[in-house]
Amino acid sequence: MKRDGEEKTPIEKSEDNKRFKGQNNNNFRGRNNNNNNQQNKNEEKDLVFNDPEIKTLFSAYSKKLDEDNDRRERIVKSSRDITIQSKRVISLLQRAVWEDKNEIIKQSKQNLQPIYKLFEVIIKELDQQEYYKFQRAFSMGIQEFVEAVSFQYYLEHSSLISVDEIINPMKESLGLESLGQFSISLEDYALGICDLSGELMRYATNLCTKQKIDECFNICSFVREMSNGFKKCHLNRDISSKMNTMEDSLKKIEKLCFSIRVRKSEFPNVDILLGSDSMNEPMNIEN
Amino acid sequence: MESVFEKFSVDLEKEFQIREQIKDIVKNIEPVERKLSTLVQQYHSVSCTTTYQHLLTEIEPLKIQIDQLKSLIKPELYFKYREYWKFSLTNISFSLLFSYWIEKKQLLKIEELQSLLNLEENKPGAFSLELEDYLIALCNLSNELSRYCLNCVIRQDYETPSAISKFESDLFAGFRLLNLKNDIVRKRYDSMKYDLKRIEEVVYDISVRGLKK
Repeated sequence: MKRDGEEKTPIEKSEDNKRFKGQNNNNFRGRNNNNNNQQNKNEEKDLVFNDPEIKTLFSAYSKKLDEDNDRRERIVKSSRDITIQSKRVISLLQRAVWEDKNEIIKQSKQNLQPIYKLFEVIIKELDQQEYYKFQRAFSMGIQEFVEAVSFQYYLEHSSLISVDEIINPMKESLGLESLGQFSISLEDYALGICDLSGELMRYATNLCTKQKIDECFNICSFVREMSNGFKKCHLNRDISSKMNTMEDSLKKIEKLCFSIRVRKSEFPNVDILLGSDSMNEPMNIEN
Repeated sequence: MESVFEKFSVDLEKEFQIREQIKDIVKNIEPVERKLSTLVQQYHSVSCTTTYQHLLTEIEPLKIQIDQLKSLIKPELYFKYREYWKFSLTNISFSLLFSYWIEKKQLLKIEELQSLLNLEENKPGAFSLELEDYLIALCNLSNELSRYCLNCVIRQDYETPSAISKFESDLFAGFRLLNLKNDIVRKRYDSMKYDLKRIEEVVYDISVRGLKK
């Protein structure tokens, strides 16, 4: 009798945890519960279920759900790491204004290698799986990555990177013939490229401080061309909202180029030095 | 850059077309869904003419739409567009589950539903009834049974409520085995305990008055 009583208490506790408390920290719950389930298997059958078949069914469902959730967690984790590292590559590339551009590009290419490794994790997880089932778990990472790679590509070639040019170095680096289920969807590519306009806006602003004015005009026409390209397309909701941000960036770059022209025309023979926040600060004339 | 956007434009247009086509097909699924849920509502009334067999004939035309969707959507894109018909399929599954339980007092399994609806088993790339949808349909079932329980008593059926109670507690125990994440299934499952409570109260009312022989 006593023994029974002692044994029941922890079971009931774990039941209660499952029902009400533990719901929020699911990631940790998975493992604990598995242990509990195994321990209590026999007792639960007698205690809880009238129809043992339902238990069998739900045990199978539970296993399947856990598998999917664990897989999704692993993918989300890699995706987050991809995002962080891509952001670092981007801020490294921004320094190309002040430092040796070729050196920075070389450095950034090296920094991409660990990101490829992270993609390998996702590629492996997606093997024999549904790409779109997990797409939302990693699309943020891809977008950030596209942004980083396209920025780097622009600095190197002054043109827009294509999807293949993103995928091929990845294949090369990982030594894979094909990426299986994995690909960079058109949508993620487009969203990443929209973000590129924001980076280029920052880059252009910084360029002004170094008086690299021609490059600034090049960026202006590049972003304009990109924005025109998007306008031709039948856009879905996600892309059109990003498009607005892109238009804002474009307007800022245009305004920047405009003020350069205006000020240059006033003092055609003088080097002007614009502050990084060129709109608001009075200009400095250097003699 | 021209060519990039040229291709991009073509692809986006294609996708848009596919979405339109899917919407058109799903429009034909919805009447069936409504028809089924009206039929199933009859179980609550005193004189009920709905039978499970009847429901099965009603879902017959669905197979056409599902075949259309299958041929339209490439397997790898199935999950991308699933949102369009997910809700309808869940509701249809629920109607079948409910009817099946009332007549057979048994749970209609996901595999059985899949073959009834001309869907494939759960595997990557297969056009299927997903586990998540099935679980939501089960939550709907639980909710509807708690209502059905009351209506059984109204028509002086005092036996069914205890069968419902047994089944419902099994269902609830089954859901407790799942490690649900913070999503829609979790929310629906959270409300299940109230269904259980309602059913238990009905059983209590019956037994305390000695109505069940």
